[in-house]
Amino acid sequence: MTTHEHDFAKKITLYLDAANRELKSGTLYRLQQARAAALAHAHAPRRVPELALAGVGGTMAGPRPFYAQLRFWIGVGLIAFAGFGWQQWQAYQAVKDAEEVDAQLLTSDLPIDAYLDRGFQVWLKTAGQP
Amino acid sequence: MAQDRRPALIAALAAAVLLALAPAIGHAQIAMKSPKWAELSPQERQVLAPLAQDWDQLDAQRKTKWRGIAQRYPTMKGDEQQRIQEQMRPWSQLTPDQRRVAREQYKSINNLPPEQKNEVKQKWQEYQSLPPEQKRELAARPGNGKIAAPAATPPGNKPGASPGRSADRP
Repeated sequence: MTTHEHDFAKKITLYLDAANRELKSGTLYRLQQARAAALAHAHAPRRVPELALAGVGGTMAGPRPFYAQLRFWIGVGLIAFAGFGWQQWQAYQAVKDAEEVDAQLLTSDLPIDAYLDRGFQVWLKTAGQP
Repeated sequence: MAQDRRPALIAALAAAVLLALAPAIGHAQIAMKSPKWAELSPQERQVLAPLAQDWDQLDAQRKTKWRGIAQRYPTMKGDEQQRIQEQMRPWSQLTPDQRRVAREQYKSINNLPPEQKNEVKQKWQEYQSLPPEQKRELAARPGNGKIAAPAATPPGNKPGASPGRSADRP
C-alpha cells in the first residue's frame, strides 16, 4: 500500500467512525444482534451434500458408512432387478428357440426316428463310399 | 483400510446372493403361468389334443412352448399340420436328452445345401429297406454321433448291396 493510499484509507476510517457515532442506539443494537447471529451461524456444523460411492467404503464428506444410505440399497436393488430381468429374458428366449426348432423339426419331411437313429447316422456317412 | 472395506464386501455379497437367487425366483414365476388342460382355449385343445393325457404333467416351459406351436399351427400347410399332429405325442415322450440330440441333428441337416437335404431324405428311405440286423450292426459302430453330409453314392450302389465293406472307412 502506498503512502497516498494509506492516507486515503485513514480518511475513510475517520468518516466511518464519525458516522458510527451518529447512529441511533436502536440501530447499533440491531447491528450487534445481526453480527452475533452471523457469527453463530458461521460456527455451526455445515451440512454438505454427500456422494455415496458403492464399493469404496465411505463417503466423500463424512464418516457415514455407505451401506447405511438408501441410495446404496437402491443400487443393489436395481442390480438384483436387472439380474432377475436378464434371467427372465434368457428363459423366455430359450422357450422361443425350442418352439421355433421343434415346430420345424416336427413338420419336416423326416420322422423323429431319423434324427435319433444312430445306425442311420453311420449309414449316411458310409453308404455309397467307394 | 481393511475395516473400511468390510461393509462393501458384505453389501457385495448380499447383491451376489440376490442375483444368485434370481433364477429360482424366475422359475417360480414361470411356474405360475402353467395352465391346466381345461384352462386352454378350445383352439389350443384341438391342436394339442395328442398331448391331452400328459398335459398336466408337463412343466411350465414346455407348456409355453407347445402353446406357441399351437399358435403357429393355423399358418402351417395341410401336410405339415398332419405331420405335427402325428409326431407330437412321440416327441413329448422322449427324454430331454433325446430331444436335445434330435434338435442338434435336425440343425445339422437343416444347414446342408438343398440338394444334400434331399439326399438325406432319400437315404432315409433307403435305410428303411435295410435288414434289421444290418441296422443294428451300423448302430453298434463307433462314431461321433453327429449327422454329416451324406457320402456320395456312385451309380449302381444300392442299399443293402455292400455298405459293410465301405463302412470300414472312417
